[in-house]
Amino acid sequence: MTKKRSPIILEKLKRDSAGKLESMLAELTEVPGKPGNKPSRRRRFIASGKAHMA
Amino acid sequence: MDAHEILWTDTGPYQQRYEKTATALMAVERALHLRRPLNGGEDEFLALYTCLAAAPSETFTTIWEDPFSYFWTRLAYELTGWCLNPEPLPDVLKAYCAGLGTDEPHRALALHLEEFKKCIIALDLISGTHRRFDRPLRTELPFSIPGTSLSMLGQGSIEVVGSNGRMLEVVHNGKSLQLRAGAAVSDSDRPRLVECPLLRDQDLEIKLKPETFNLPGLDAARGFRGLSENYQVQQTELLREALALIERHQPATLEHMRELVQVIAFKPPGADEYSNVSFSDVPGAFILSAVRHPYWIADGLIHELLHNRLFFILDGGEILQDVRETAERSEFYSPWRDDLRPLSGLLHAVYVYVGVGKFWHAACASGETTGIQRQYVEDQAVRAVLQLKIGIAQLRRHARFTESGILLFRELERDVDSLAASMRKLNLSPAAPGTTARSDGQLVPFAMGNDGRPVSILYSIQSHAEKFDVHRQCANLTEILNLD
Repeated sequence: MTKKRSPIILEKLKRDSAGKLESMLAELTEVPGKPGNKPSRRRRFIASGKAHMA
Repeated sequence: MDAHEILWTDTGPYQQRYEKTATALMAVERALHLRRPLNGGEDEFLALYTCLAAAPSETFTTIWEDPFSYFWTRLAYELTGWCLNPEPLPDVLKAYCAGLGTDEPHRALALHLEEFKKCIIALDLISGTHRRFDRPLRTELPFSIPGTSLSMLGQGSIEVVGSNGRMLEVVHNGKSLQLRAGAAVSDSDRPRLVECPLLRDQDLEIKLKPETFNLPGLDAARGFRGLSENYQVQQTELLREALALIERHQPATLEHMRELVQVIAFKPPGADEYSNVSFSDVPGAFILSAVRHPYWIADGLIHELLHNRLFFILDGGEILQDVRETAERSEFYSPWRDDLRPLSGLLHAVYVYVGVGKFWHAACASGETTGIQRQYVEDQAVRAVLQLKIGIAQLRRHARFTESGILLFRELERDVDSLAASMRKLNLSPAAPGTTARSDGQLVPFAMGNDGRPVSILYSIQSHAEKFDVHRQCANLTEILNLD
């Protein structure tokens, strides 16, 4: 597959996304009910076409 | 970046979402390492994580961009959070745990960590590694091996003991077997490793792999029951014809398909209650009904691609306020559905039909069809505009937008205005006879009126609102459609 995206390099990501990683870790391990950007609370969506066919 | 780029052209959200998911994987690993909620039950996962993390970045990325990896990570994140900080479970997570056969959080997490072995099986098959798991992976057939074109088919449960170079060692019904890709078996219930059909078209590569959807808690795989193993490959010509239409009328969409779509699974049109479906938890994959009409399939491809694209856009920031999971109510009339919808559903519909509408308008402008085909193309071009006007009116009246969402919604309004202008320019009329595709691909009148003649497109839209707008949210339909 020849996608234009760069490969994901975990070590680099760990450095570049250190803040996000820490906030996710805090969300998992710290006090419950803390507001913030919670990926675990992001809405799921099932987009299904239920329009009738003839 | 302007609103048009965010909605239609920017490919940044694809990379960002996969990176965010990989960050979530690292957070799960660290949380389990630090807190050990399973008292050592997480040790094998932690060791296997290290193997996957040490894989060459191209291999990791191939596995990581498979729809399964997002599905697994999101649930791993939620289950880990649930074990460390118990809170009421969302319904989707309850369904997943039930699919795993438990409602006990720690047991569910332990079983879920086992499923990570599917990524390791992929790694071992790609790299030719020998490995025996500490505990065999016990899972249900069939299942997809992420990041590869391979699936393990068959019926019932199976234990995957490990890999032996390019073969998998398994135990099925108490019998040890070594499975090599492509080896023939006489009994279709027996486990076997098969390559799925691949559609390659220029830079595009799509796997036709229904096993991707055979996941606990998702009942989407119902539509594939009893299908012959050749069913997917039988749809490749139809898919090719549809892609040729997209290339002709909306070439930019192919670029996004190349970046985003990994898996398509076809089902018979009558199987299950939906026609086509995408899941935000299984990004880059969707199910299409194999309606034997290339324009219908082209429409479905664009439609499902855009649902997927919107999942990625919304992952970077919401357009609507108050749409947290479980916070929304399905109480709004949608011209596309017979049931009432949440506002997030209407937003999805408006977004995808703007894209689909542009396709139909380009097809109309080309003048490439005649007779009933032309009638169908015109129906779809006009219907998109009328339904979009209703969808936009519903969102304008009932939705509350985030700050960035206001700008994106304005862009969608402009898109709908442009389509309405295009409809006039193409001399298309809402009074034209309504035409629809039957599930066998035949084009037929949308419905017949009392006078024995086909009803108009406009009449079919008005009749739908009359029947299904039960709260009379669009009582001013004439004003909304503004057809003068």
